[in-house]
Amino acid sequence: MTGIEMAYRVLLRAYPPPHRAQYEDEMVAVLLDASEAGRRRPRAREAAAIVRAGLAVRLESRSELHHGFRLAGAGAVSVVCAMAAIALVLAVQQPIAGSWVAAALWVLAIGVALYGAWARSRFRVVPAATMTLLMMVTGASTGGFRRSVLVVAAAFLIIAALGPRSERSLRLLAPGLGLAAGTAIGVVNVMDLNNFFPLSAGPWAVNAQWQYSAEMVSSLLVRTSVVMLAAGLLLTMRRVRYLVATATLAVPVFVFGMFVPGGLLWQFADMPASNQATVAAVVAALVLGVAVLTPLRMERRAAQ
Amino acid sequence: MSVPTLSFLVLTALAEQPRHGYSVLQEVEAMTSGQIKPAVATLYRTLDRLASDGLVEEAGTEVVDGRFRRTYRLTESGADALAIEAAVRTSTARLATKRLQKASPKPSKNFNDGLAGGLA
Repeated sequence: MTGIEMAYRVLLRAYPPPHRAQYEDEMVAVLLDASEAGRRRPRAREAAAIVRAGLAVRLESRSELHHGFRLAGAGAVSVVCAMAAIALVLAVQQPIAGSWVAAALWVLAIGVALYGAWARSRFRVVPAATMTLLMMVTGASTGGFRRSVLVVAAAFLIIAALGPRSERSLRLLAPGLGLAAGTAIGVVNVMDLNNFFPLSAGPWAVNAQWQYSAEMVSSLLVRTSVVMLAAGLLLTMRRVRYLVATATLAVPVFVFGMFVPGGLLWQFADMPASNQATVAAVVAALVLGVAVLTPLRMERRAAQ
Repeated sequence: MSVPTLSFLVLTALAEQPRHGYSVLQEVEAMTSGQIKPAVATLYRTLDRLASDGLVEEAGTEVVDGRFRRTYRLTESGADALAIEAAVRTSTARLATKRLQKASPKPSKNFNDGLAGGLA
């Protein structure tokens, strides 16, 4: 392969994979025919046209974003349902002032998230946004949840509200899994608190600091959301072209979850904020790198 | 429904005979005396659109000197669309010429006179 052919093939990566499968070889041939003999680099005009056209085709094939949103939406519904279930269990266990209000808001949030999963109407954005705002205010005033969790929840809710209707299996599975996981986490917490099943002591103790606290619940939730996002990414790998879309959706949520005060993902709280920022940036870069490189690798494997 | 100029030119290039991508590129350039030289990616955007609209279709593939070539030809609906577009463009062009001939003293001159008078 000559240098200029390689350069054209690199430029053609601007197109989505299905388009490349259809046209890449043919376009390379025409590009080589059209470039004068002895030329070593593509002309700027051709290069710009390729990148522009490739991005335009990507924007047009909306199904990429559609699937990314669909999976992210399903993850969002799961996490919101889990948070609501935990809030309810804890409110029953320890009815401190305001916790019922927060629990009621979480229940409403489930409703909105489910509605977002079912309905196509644009109106769902307004209730979802309102509910998120209310949750943040209540959560902050009662101290029930850390702000970082609320921000992650807000990001999820907005994605859920904006995302298109998910497939039937996801629609049923996502809230079901979320509610089950949330209830389980809540019940284990309460049992731990009452020493029925002391997680915080004994050989299985994960963490000496492991005890009933809103902070622990919120850190669990952030972990759950991270697992959900990872699962979403893995799912999308089956359909390579959706990977980038999902990664794009997931990265801001990852970064938010890590940046926001307390850096709940990093239990080693004494880590300076600047280090957290570095770690967040590295993780974001890794996720993006995987998103970009995986399709290349899989294509190469398919070509062999 | 108007057809963009490049689509119109590509359909015209394919009207006589099927052509492969590079041949379409050369023909468009020749037809317009070098006035329109589409970038390869731009040409393929157009070809892709025309194909998905069913106006052109693949007529076969071959490998020449190790280079992959796909030949395109006009479909029936492509020929119809080209005929309609040609008729529309002809009548519009005729109308434009007629109106230019009928036009009384150039409006730009009047405008300048008026402007100069107003400023004086």
